[in-house]
Amino acid sequence: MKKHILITSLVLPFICLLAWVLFLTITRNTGSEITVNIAGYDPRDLLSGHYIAYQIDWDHTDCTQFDGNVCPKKEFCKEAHWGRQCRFYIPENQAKDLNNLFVMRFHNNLKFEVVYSYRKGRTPIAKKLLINGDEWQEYMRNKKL
Amino acid sequence: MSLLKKTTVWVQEQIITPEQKEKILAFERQSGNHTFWNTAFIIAGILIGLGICLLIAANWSVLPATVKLIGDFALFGALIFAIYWSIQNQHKGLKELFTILAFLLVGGTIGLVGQIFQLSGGWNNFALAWALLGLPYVILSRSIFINMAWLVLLGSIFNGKYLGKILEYIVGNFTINTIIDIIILYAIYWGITKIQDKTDKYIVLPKTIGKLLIWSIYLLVIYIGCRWGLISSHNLQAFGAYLVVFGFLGFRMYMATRKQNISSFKRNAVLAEIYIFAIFASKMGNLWMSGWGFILGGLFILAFVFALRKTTRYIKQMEIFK
Repeated sequence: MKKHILITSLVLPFICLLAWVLFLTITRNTGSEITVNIAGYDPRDLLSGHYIAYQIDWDHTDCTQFDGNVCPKKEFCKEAHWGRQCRFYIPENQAKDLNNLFVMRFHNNLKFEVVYSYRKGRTPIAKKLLINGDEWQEYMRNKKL
Repeated sequence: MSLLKKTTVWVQEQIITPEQKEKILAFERQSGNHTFWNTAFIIAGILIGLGICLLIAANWSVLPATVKLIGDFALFGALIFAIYWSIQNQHKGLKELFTILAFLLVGGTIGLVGQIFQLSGGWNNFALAWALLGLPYVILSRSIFINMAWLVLLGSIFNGKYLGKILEYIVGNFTINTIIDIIILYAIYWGITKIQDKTDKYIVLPKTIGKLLIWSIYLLVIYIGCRWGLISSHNLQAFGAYLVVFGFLGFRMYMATRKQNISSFKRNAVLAEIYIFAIFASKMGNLWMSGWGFILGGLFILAFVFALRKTTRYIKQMEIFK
């Protein structure tokens, strides 16, 4: 009996995390793709890695992508003191260059967008970060950054 | 209570004779090597586990997300098997090593999933998930580090979500808030362990308050050490902070050795190690390099421990032959 409890308690966290990953994968793959315009804050780094902290610029987002042509603002991102804050995680080795691009986006006339997998009633999952319509990795490769 | 104090009380209560007391102390001194081995395994586990977390945080773009996830879960599965194997074969040191690694990898895995699926959840959710999913490993481990890490996780949930909002107005300092949370949680933890032991009837005792005061001094010294030693750009100030922290912890370890208080020795050793890691991390350039530095440091300790163990056994065998 004790052996079963031991094995169950050891394996349970593994199963929970695996189920979470499967759930997120299904949610990401079954949702429809929508693109939102973003305005931002500076990237910060926590133990979980470097990321860009941004807010969705609903005034410049095409709301016809959603049912009833209404943007479901409350379904996106986490509520913070200053509004709804979202994150996009980026690799450490490219964080500085991407940060510079993001901070100087108005000066360089760059448009930052995020592609989400969206399904009504589920938490939207960010899939891609776009710079002037290109995936950010591709944009940086082309610009040799 | 240290073994020296315990045995002195037992002699006073005429439970054992003074000769038996000496025999017990001599036996414990001889078997005290296990404490060293186990502490080394714990330190190696912390180093390797933190290293893996840092590598995950570095978010290496060369590896595709699927490969990262498969690698992470394969390592997690292997660790579960290793914990089970070490329990079955009664390898205490290895059990501690694998349990700490599994506990830290739970955090690393949550971080990795958050990174890959671009989740915007805050620290509270992260800490809550880590504390809940890591609980089996906390229960299995006997290491003070893993218990304290779990308490800090819980403390940070309360801080951000509930207690913090009230205390922010009173104290207005995040660090002090965190320390208060840890002290409250430690008091609860201490009370629960006392109830479980059935040695004391009340949760809050004068001894508990004394213990909490000692812990608050510990935290204050570590806080000063981190504030001055890690952030300061003045070398003299940083060096002074290192001296204060290591002097304090070293003195506590020396006193623990004199009193044969093994748990106090371990606690101080782990705190000193955590402080070393903090210096190490702040001095090394980035997450990627720090991660590898931590892992290599942990593997070096493991290799050193195994080599030392083999050498000790060999020397003992030679003495038998003589």
